[in-house]
This record gives sequence, C-alpha cells and structure tokens, in this order.
Amino acid sequence: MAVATDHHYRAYTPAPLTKSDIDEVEILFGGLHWRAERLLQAVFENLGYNARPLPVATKDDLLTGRELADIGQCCPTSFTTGNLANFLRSESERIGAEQVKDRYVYVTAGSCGACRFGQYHQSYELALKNIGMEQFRMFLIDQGQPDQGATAGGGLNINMPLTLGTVWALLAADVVQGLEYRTRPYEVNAGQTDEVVRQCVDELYEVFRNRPAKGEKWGSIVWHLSTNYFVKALREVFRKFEAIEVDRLQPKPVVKITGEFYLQTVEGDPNYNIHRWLEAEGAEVYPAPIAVWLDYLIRFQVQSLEDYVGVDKGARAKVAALKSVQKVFGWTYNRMRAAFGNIPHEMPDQYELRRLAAPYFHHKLSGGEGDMLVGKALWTHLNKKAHMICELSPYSCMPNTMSIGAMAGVIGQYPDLLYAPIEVKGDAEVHALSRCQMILTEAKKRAIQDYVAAMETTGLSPETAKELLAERPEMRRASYRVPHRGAAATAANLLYDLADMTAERNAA
Amino acid sequence: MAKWFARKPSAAPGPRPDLEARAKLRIGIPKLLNVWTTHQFWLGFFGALGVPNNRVVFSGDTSEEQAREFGRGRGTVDCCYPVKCGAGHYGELVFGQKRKIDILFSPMIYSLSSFLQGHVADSLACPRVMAGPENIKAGFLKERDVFAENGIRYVSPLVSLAEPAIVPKQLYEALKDVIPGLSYKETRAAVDEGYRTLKGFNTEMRARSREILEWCARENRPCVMVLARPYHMDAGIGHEIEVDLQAYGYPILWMQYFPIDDDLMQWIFGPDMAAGHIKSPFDIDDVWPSSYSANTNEILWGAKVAARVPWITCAIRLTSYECGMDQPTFTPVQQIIERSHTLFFSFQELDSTKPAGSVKIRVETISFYMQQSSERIIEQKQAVTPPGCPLLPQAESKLATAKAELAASA
Amino acid sequence: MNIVGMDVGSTTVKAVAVDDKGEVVWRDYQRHNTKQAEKVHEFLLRMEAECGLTRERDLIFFTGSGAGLTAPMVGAKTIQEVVAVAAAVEKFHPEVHFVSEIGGEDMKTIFFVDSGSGKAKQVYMQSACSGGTGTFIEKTARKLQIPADQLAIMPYEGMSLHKVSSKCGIFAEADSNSLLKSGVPVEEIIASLFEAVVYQNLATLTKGNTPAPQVLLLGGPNMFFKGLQEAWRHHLKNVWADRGIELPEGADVADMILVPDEALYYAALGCVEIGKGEADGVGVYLGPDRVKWWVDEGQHLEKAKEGGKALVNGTGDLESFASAYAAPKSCNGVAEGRKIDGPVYIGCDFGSTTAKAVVLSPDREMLYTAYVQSKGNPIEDAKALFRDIRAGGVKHVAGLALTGYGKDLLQDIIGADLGVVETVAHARSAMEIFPDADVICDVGGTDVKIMILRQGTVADFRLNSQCSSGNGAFLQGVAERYDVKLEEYAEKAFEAKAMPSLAMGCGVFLQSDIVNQQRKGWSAEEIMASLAAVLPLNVWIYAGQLQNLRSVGRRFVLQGGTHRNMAVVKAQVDFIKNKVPDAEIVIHPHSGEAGAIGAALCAMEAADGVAPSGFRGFDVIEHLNYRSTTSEDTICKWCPVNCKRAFIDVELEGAKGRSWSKIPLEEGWERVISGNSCPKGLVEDVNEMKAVKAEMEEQRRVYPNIGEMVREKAFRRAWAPT
Repeated sequence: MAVATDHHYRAYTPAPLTKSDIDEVEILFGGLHWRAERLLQAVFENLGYNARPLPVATKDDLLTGRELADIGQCCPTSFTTGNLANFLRSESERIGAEQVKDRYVYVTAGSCGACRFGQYHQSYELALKNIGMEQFRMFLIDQGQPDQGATAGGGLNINMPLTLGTVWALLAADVVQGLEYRTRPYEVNAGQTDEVVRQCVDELYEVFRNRPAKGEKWGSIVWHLSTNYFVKALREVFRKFEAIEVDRLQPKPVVKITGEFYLQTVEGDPNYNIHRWLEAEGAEVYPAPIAVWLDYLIRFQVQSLEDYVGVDKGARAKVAALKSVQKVFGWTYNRMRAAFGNIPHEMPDQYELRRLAAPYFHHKLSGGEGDMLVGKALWTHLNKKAHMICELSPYSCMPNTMSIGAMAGVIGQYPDLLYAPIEVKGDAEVHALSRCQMILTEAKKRAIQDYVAAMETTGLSPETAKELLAERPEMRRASYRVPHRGAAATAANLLYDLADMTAERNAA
Repeated sequence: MAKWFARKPSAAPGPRPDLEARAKLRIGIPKLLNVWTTHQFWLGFFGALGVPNNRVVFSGDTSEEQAREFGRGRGTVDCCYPVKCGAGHYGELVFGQKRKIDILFSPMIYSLSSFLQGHVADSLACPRVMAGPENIKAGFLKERDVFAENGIRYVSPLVSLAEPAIVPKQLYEALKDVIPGLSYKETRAAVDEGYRTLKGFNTEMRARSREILEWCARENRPCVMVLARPYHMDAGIGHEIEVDLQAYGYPILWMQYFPIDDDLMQWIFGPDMAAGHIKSPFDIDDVWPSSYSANTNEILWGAKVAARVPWITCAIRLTSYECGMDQPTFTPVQQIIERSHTLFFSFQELDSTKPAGSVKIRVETISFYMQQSSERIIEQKQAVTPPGCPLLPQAESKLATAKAELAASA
Repeated sequence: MNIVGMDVGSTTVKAVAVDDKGEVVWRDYQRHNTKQAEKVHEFLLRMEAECGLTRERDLIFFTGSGAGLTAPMVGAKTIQEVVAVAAAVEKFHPEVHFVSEIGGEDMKTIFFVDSGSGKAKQVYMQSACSGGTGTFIEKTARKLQIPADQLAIMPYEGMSLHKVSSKCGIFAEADSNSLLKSGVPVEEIIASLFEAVVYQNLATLTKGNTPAPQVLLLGGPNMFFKGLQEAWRHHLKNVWADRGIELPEGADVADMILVPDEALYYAALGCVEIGKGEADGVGVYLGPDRVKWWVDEGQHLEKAKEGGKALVNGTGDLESFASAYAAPKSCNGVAEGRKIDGPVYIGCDFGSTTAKAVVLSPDREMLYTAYVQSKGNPIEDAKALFRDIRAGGVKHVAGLALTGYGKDLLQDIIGADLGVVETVAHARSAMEIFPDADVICDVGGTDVKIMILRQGTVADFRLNSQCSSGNGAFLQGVAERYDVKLEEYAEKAFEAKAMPSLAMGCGVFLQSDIVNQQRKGWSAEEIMASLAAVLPLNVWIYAGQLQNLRSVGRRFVLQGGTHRNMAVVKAQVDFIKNKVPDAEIVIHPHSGEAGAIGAALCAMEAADGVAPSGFRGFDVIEHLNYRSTTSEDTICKWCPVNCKRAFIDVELEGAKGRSWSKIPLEEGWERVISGNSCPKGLVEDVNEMKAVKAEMEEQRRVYPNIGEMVREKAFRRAWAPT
C-alpha cells in the first residue's frame, strides 16, 4: 500500500530553464569587482545569453539579508542575499512579480566546501520564499568542475567555452586591477587613472564579447592556449597607461589585502570600501587577484590526489597531470601580466605558500582560503612585498576566525609582521577602520624607513632623484615598471632603480 | 635502558614494535569536538598498537572551571564555545594530570565515517572543528613551547576518516617518531581495528536505541529525539538539557545512534523511495542538497526520521552560539519536523554557562505539551505511516511468517 | 606655539595644551553627556582665553572615538587612539611591556614586544560586549546606590569574591542583584565586579600574549578605582608566578604596575607627541567657529539629510495611534459592579518580586485581583495574598492553580490543584482575550518571550534570556544614561522629529552604533526614538528569529512590562503592520496579571466539577505554623555564590519531614527553601541530593538516554562484543 508523502517538507528545486526560455531570460550574477563582472557579462553575451551583474551590494542589502534569512549568518551571506532580494523586489515593483520570475534567473558559484559558502543557496531560498518569489529560478555552479553540461532544463550550458571564457575574463580583470592599483596612488592628475581604467574595461568588454567560437571542447581549449587574441588586446589598452603621469617618489605604505574571498574581492559597502579608504589614507593597495584563488583551488585538488600517492597506483600520474594544468594556468596569467609590462603583481607559488604556512596551519584544512591566509601573510612579509597585511574577515566567518587564531602563532614568531585582521560586520565601520588605521600608522613609518634606507644606500636625495627623473620622462609614466629591489615601498625601489641606472650610465 | 637501544634504527633492518616501551606510554586526548564521535576509534587504534586503554587519558568534561584553571589567557580566537573551550582541555592534559602524559594527541579530523557516507555529497567536519587544534596549539606555542617544557610530544595529525585508504598513511606519518618501533603495516592493522571498534560501539548503541523504540511502540509511549552535534553530549557543551527532560519520564534518543536496520529503514523511508523523492533511506537530497558536512547531514537525516516515526513526538535541537554550520539549517530542520505535527523545540545559543532558569521553563513547557499532545501526535503520525511496523511484536511475527512462507515456496 | 591634544571619548572629553618648552599649560577632563561637539567648543574657547590658544599659529590634534566629526572643523588631524596612547607610553615609559586602557565603553590592551627593529606592538580592542569596561562597573554601582567617591576607594584585597557575569553589563547587574538579595555585602559585590573586569580583560584581550612587566594601567576606571588596581595586582602577580617571570631584584609586584597621575591624558599627550613630528602645515588650528556652526546648525542639517522618518509622522499619526492603543493599567481590587458569591477559580502567579492572584467566576469573569510585593518569604507572601483574596469576599474556592517561580514551592502547602508553567499560563490567558491569537509577544525587563500558537497550543516559543538586546532592560539602561525616567521615555521619544536608523543586533553592537550616532550629533530623544524603533527588529527577527512575520499569523498579542512604554508599542504596531498589513494587534489589558489569569483558566479547565479542590482553606493558610531558620547550615554550597538561604519549615498534615537533613525536620512538617539565587539552591545539600539522585536514577533506568550511555561508556575502554 502506498502512503502519501506529500505532506513532508522538501527543499527548493528551481523550475527548469529550457533552451526556449533562454532567449527570454536575463542571467543575473554578482559578487566580484566591477571589472570582472563587466568582462563576465561579455563572456555570457558572447555565447548568446543575456546577462547583467547585480548592482554592488549596499548596507541596505545587508539589513534586508539579515531579515530574510536565518539568524546568525556571516555578513557576505547577508549582503549577497539581500542584494538579490532587493533587486528582485524593486524589479517586481517595476514590472510585476510574475514578469520577474520569467525574465530573470540567478546563477552563482557554490563551493564544494563544508563552510557556509557551500550553503549560500539555503539563504537565497529562504529569502526567495520570504519575499514570495519561490518560483524564481536560481542555479548553482560547482566551481570545482569546469564542464558540467546543461543545467536543469538545458537552457544554460556550462561548457568549455563558458568556463574558459570565465577564467580568461577573470585573469584579464585581475591584471587590469593590478595595474590600476599600482598607478592611482601616484597619479599626478587626480582621476586620470580611473578614467583610463574605465576606457580599458570598455574595450576589453568588446574583445570578450567578440571572442571567436572555436568549438565546444578541445577546439576551444587549444585556441585559448595558443591564441594571442587577448594578449594583443591587453597590449593595446596598456598604451593608454602611457598617458598617465605618476610621481612614485612618495613613500607610501603598501597594504596587502587578504581575507575571505568575497570581502577581499568586492569594492563597496561589503568591505567598507576599504580599497579606496586605504588609498585615501595614503597607502598603495596590493589587491587580491582572483587568479590566486583559482590557483589555490587547483592546488587543493592536487593535494587530494597527493594523499593517495603510495596508496593508489595511478595517483602519482594524476598529480603530475594536474600540476601541469596548474603550470599552464600560471603561464596564462603571466602572459597577461607581461602584456601589461609585468607591472601587476605576480602570483605567489602555491607550494611556497603551503610550505610557509605548514608550521601553523595544515594545508588540507578547508573552508575559505585555508592555509593560504597564513601563507600569503608570511610570503608578503618575508619577501617584502608589502608593509602590512590587511585581512578582511567577515563577522562570524568560520574559516577566517581559524586562520586569525593560527596567526597568533605566526605573530609570536615574527613580531615585526604588521597584521591587521579586520572584522567586517557591515555596520560598526568606525571600529574596524580605526583598527586598520592603527596598524597603518606603523606601516607608514616602515615605508619612510624604507625610503630613508634607500636614500642612505644610494646617496640620492629626493631632490637629486627628482632631477634624475626629469631626465627620464618614461620613468614618470604609469607604464614604467619599477623593479622590486628588495624594499616594500615603491618609492624606495625607485631610488634603487635610479641609482643603478645612473651607475650604468656613468660606467658607459 | 634496553628499550631505547632497541628503538635505534641500526638495531634492526625495519622497525620492530617495541611493546614494552609502548605499554608505558601515556597518551592524552582532549575530549572535544569530533572526538565525541570517534572515541572508540582511538581506543581501538592505540589498543592495537599496544598502548593499554587505561593509559589513554581523555580530558574531563568541558567546564568553566576547567577553562579558568587551565586555559586562561591561552585562547587565540573568538569563536563558538565548543572550539574555544579547547584551551582548557589542552591545559588540563598538560598541567592537570597526576601522572604526566607523554603524548598529547589531538587529531584534526577532516572528515568522518558517517553512516550517511556514500549517500551524501561529502562527510566533512566543520571548518572550525577541523582546524580547532591549530588554533588551540597557537596559544601554547606562541611565546614558548609549553608542551616541550612539560616533556610532552604534541601530535596533531590531519585524519580523513571518510577515506579509510589514506588514514594509515596520515597516522603513520604523524606517529612514526612517537610510538616506538612503529611500522606502516602495523599502523594499517591498527586503523582497521579502530574502525572495527568504533563500528562495534555504534552498533551496540543503535541496538539500545532500538530497544527503546520497541518499548515505546509496544507501550504506545512517546520519546524524545535529540538533534545535535556529537559534542553536545559533553555535559559542558550541551549542558545535559536532555537529562532534564528525561527526568519527566521520556526516553531520549540521539539521532547519531538511531537504529539503521534494513527493516526499520524500509518501513520509515519506503514511501519516500517509492515516490521517487530519495534513492535510499540515507539520501537527504530531498531536503538538503548541499550535503557536504557530516554532522549537518546527520542532523537533517535525524529530522526526517523524527518526522516519520510516530513515537517520537518531540524533537529538541541543541545549537551552540555562533554555530555557522547550524545556522542555515534552522528553518529546514524546523519545517521538516513541524510539517509532521511533531513538537519541535530548539535550544539555541548554548554557551559556556547553562541558562538554568530558561532551560527549566522550556523543559516544563515541553513536558506539558508532550503530556497534552503526545497521544494525538502518535495517532496522527501513525495514520500516515505504512502498516507492518517492525518495532511492534506482531509485525515481527508477521514478518517471520512471511519469510517462512517465502522459504517454503522457494 | 602651543600644541593641543584633544581626546574625545564616548563619555568624556580630555584635552591638554603643551607650550614650546614642552610644559603642560592647560588640561581638563569632563563628561560630555552626549554633547561632544558642545564640549569641544567649550574647551576651545577656554583654551583661547586661558592659555592663549591662537588660530593660524597653534597646532591641534584629535583622538578618541568621537574625533572624526569635530577634528576637521578646527583643522585638527585625527590620530587613532591606540596609536596616540602608544606614543605617549613609548615616550614616558620605555620599560613598559603591557598597557591596559579601560574606557567608558571600550577596553584595549597593548603589548610591546622587543623585536629586531625596536619594539613591535600588538593591540587588542574589545569589540564584542560591554563586559570589562567602565560602564560595566558604574552601571552596577549605580544600581547598588554607591556614590562615586565611595566606589573609588572600595577595596578588592581581602574580600570574598562571588560569581558575577563578566560578559555583559546587564547580566552582571542581574547577578549583583541576586547577590544583594541573598545578603552579600555591597563591598563584596563590588570586589567581585573588579574581579570580573580584570578577568574579562585578561581572558579576551591577551590572545596568548603574556602581560609582562612593567605594566601600565590607563583610563578612568583603572585610575579612579583603587579596588580595580588591587585586582590587577592580584592577577598579574599570579600570571607572573605561573609563567615564571622574574621581577628585577628587590622589586615588588606593586612597583611593576604603574598608574600614572596623568593616566587620563595619555591619549591627548600622545597626540601632542605625534604632532611634534608632523610636517609643516598639518593640524593648524582654525578656530572654533565651525564647531559653533555645527552645534547651532550643521548637525540638524546633516541629520535631516541622513535620518529616517521619526517614530511619529505628523500629529495625526500620534492621535490615531493613541486612540487605538491605550497603555495597559494594572488593576487591583474588585472589578466594578461584580459581586463575589458562589464558587470561584483562583490563579496565583508567584514571581520573584511580586505575587499576584486573580479570581474568576465560573463564567470566566474577572471578579477580583490581588497583589503583594514579595518579602522574600514565600509563606508570608502566600498568607498576605490569600488574606487579600479573603477580604475581597471570596468564600468558596472551586479550583486553584499556581504559576511562576514559586509554584513548585507552594503547590503542596496551599493545596493548589495545579502548577502551570509560565509559558502555558500566558498562552492560555492570551487566548482568552483573543481566541484566535496567533502570536504572543511578551517583552519583560530581562526576558523576551514569543509564543507562537497553533491549534490552541504553544507550538513554538522563543525565549531570549541570554542576550539583552531586545529586552526592556536595555532600553532602561539607555534611558538611565540619558537621565530620563522610564515613564517619560515615550513622551521624549515621540518628541523626536527625526531619528537615526540603528542596525538590529545584539545590545553591544547597538551600543557602539549609538556612540556612532551621538558622534553625528543625534540627541538623546532622537536616539531613544530610534531605539524604540529598532526594538521590534530585535524582538522578532534577532531574538525571535521570525524573519517572515506573515508566516506566523496575523493576530498579535503584546504583553509584558516593556509594552507599557508606548513608544515601543508604537514601533511594534508600525513594524508589524508594515510586515503584515492586515494584522490585528492588541495589548493585553491585564498585562501584569496575564500569568495568574492563565493559571485560573487552567484550574477551571482541569476541574471536572466532581472532585473538590485540594485548596487547604483560608484558615489553614492564615494559621500556617512555620519557623524560619537561617544559619551556617542553610548556606547554599552548590556554587561559590554561597547564597544565605532561609529554610522555612511549615507544619502540614501528612508531610514526610526530613530526617536526613542537617537541620532535621520531624514528620508532619514540610520545608520550603527561599533566598536562593538559582534553582540549584532549592536542593538543600548533599544529603538531599542523594535522596533526589536515587529517585532520578530510578527514573533514568526506566527512561533511558542514549547520550548518557555514550558519556558513560565511550571513553573508558574499547568496546568489545559481549
């Protein structure tokens, strides 16, 4: 005898998104910085989808998110949940709820981790229910799988062209961001960098939008790896930076941003606009490229395979294969960096990060960025890549609190490391920023120390340095790369560079 | 002296188990987090390696006194209490033992051998729980090596219990320098013994749960199901809230040890499987698609069970303050249970102190409504469950008859 | 040239002016009572007059949580507080390795660690709760009515300590109250508070660092409270002994812990220090004019731009609200026009501070209410209550039920037919006035209870006793800070023409948000309005976790003391109607008696009309023979609080007595315990525990608990199949 089971609770399952639907719908996505989102939009459009990024999340979204989902969320969940809900609400008011559910679908990355990030969808579902939009369609993409076929209903095809387009777009956005952040703090004409970056992203948008179709799988892979389509375009936009005059003789503290993925990536209320705030406080910001996260994801897969070396026969070969994929990935990133004169920061070697973090945090511990947070802090400190680490940690983020705890051990060993874990709640901004400012004051001293040390070593005074620079207009361009000469401060490195050049010229 | 010579690698071509030395080791294990669900694995494992059970010392139950006396000033992080209390457990093992321990063994349990494994996406531990030892340790190593000062070897292997194939490797690497004469092969056998012991214990507890259920079914009496993480069994974490309810005359089941015998599973989940909602009794995709975390998965599964078994007329949920793993599950768990008319009460925000007053009122309220409504709830739930309940004696006999008939016809 | 350092804190403004020679030529320290800008302006004018502060010439630097707003107006550069303090410490005390600065609403620690490049600093600030701050001490001291000058000299050394919550000011206050009630002297309570503060600082703000000598104590509380200094000495001595830190030869612990006379001014002095090293043109004083402008005009413009709507939008709004909702009054005595004859049902609510009773007729009409203030002796309370009921004319009791804290103590003694748990009683009474009620929202002084009703039962309830955000005590605390009586709260809050929007969340986050808003110049009335406005969010969403109010129903009953505050009711009504437009909301007309009414109704329903009530009768109660014992043997030993309990032994027919007790009780007597501060204290001692345990063991055997089996079996030895 069959017993009815309809009375039991069931989880949300989105209505299918069919091939015939796809032309009618617009794909919503978000959670990155605007450059990456714009290029991703181009990737979607290139494959024939309508797509648009959600607006940057605001404090209002945070409050909405807190109201709509279960109590005690981490703040990225509140921000993104509220962001989606508020967008759908305002669209409902404009065109009606019925229209909204037919017209939009939301696509987001779901992590494979045990952390709440992997359970984001629960918050979204609850929010949808609570705003009466249970019919709205939302799809999760597993970021660990590049090729997932058609999602429910066949409308959205997660295939190689989409995945590779996404990766290439993210890398391009990274290098643009990297170049921008090394330029703006030193620009002579305020606002010029922003203007140039806007133009660059517009041009790159077209480049990605017009990406040629080269097959569904292998054709696409081969083309992406061999083409100089993107590199050429990047070189093209790089020229615009030549027009920006910079004064890099200002000893500014360099602040490395690390932390939870969403918070270190977005630029807006969700992280108190910390990038801009730091620049306004006189810092050069060393942003967190998305590429490093992707590289970490690959490393994580490698590690899972490494566990089986000596246990499973084929494991060693699989490790080798995946490591070569990782090499290719790094090579692709470096090609793009090279197109920008190698000015954007390099990616740290994942295995070096792992080695550095090992005494404090096991590499397999997952959730968030795992051992990377410890590794990046040490790597930055030991290699003098920045004066301080600003770790953006969402309030009640599970993995982040763990790495902060482990950092206690790191600080015990390296009392010189300037480490500012900033707890981001979304509100209570004053506390967080004043904490950051506290460490920043120390970092400023370090930057000046760097500069003074460079003056002493090179014998150059700021005045003589200025004179030398006046003779070399190319060095006053944003497109000139100041090589890293062992100091964290750009101004100090510039002095060393100038001294070397003068020495060379004198020798010649 | 002799045993130390024997340990030298030059003494033998391969390591030889030095049982005499091992029998004198004292191993301290902090009784926290997922040790609460793997206790017997470690006893079986170390036992097989020749460390007698009575020389494997667990720290005491979590308590505020423990934290004050042994853990003060060593906490490095603000997070949920079950992780934060670790400093007290470590401290107790380092400073609070009459007879000093030689090894402080604090496994970072990455994944668990959950009974749902294979039916769910993954069986990982919570990110904070797995990383807990790294943080607690930082408080003991930050300025000076407190372990070394006390003559203790600190061993904290990462262990993927959901992947038995790699566990021997993980434990061998961590213990080869600590357990005299340890070999890989031996470790592998000890790991097997660990799993076997744990399984035996779990089977025993499930059998006890089944006895309770059968009693309830026979007497038509209600019982309570606790939905919580394993460490809520720790009197200092779960504050023995369920004991207060037990005192009102209700047997208490914990979903971790719910009986999973075929007959019972078929009876409970048969209709859902027939309707195509799930593929097996241990499939929770119908209510929780992102089934990555072992303990979370089990809570969701437990909720489904509580919703379907008539004599479970009330489910209580225990959650620690700031538990990020529980947070997204609040609504689904509540809905799963309440849709079936089962009473649902949750004790959230549990922290270091027992909120005795509020617990008392809640327990009285729960008891009042259980008294008032259990009979009705049992009836309502029975009306939508299939006949032939294997918990009832007549069903047993019917089944036996059917089996006999089947055998005769074959 | 003068250099001014101005420290604008959460409760005070401190300033110093230093001349060319480095001499302090002016300094002052004053409370600002939320008028930060006003106080800054006053200080500037005084400095101009008294020490020749001159615009365009002198330099000025600001620090403190309130610096951000006013600093730019006078040309000052803002220096982060801890940076400023650290600068002063480095200058004046090169040997210091650990600094604790306790402020009004914050606490910080700074560790100086010797490192390659001089000294590395590690700084920790409290960010989670009010525990460990100055307010934490003062709040409780105010409650205990200890004058400030006395508080300053109260000792720690040599006092017996008791357990006081170190985490949250509200709970510390509650703990202190119960300590006081159980006879603990105030000196010991204050010493326990000092203990809690130091404990909290060390527990949360050391993060594995050792506070090594020398130690510097800064900030108002550290400076003013002698007992707090003693507590630090006591604890640091222990820490140093524990960690094997040796003091320099001949040095005493006290020598290693410095409390400088200028402790209050360190942040301001640090500003001056840093200011000396600034580039030319930084921090040039521009005069007080813009601050003046801000005080008079600017803040109002700014607020108008930023503020959300007010609690009241137009006069019509308040009028229509006032006509629909009236503040519930507590009633006492005979209900008008009712005569009491024939059988009645009585419900009594024995709370911890009051005892109330209602008398219902069989047709559920309220005939009489009685009320007594508890005197701490439940028997006397019961006698007084029943005396009152009898005087009201009640003769024939058909049923009697008790609820509240005293229900278990008194049920047998007065012969009640039923003991009803509070939640059930409240639910029952709410359903009486509003039969289809879906939700009861009871907001009291410390508890927030939300009871969700479905099909006539409390299907779910949310009780929030761990967090102080949504409850009345928090509102009360803020009102007290502003010196506003609770009865005047609503009036004040309704006056606000605009209000800042506060984020929902725990009380402490609100607290820091309030500091933020004060900084922006919001006034007391406006902040009080916004607090009332945020209360529903805290109650329903934060404490109650009811994100979707519509899903729980549309008929709401509001009750509990906090709903006497009509500002809160207004906010509640607006909030609920916004989420559930067709909501019906009522305020329980007998809010204070809700529990007793519910109990009486339960008694009525339990009575089958055949069996008589077990009520022992007015005479028996009036003549209850009892003796009360308070001695060394009645002190509760279950926890370090050591409540001084009273054993009240009542002569009662058929009672079993307590032969095993230290104060034995013969047959025919029943013992009631009072004066305990927690339920544990209701158990007399180990002997009784044994007796109770034996009973419980039996219960546990009959009704097993799998968790208990795990606790017993899992950690002893490896399981082996039997």
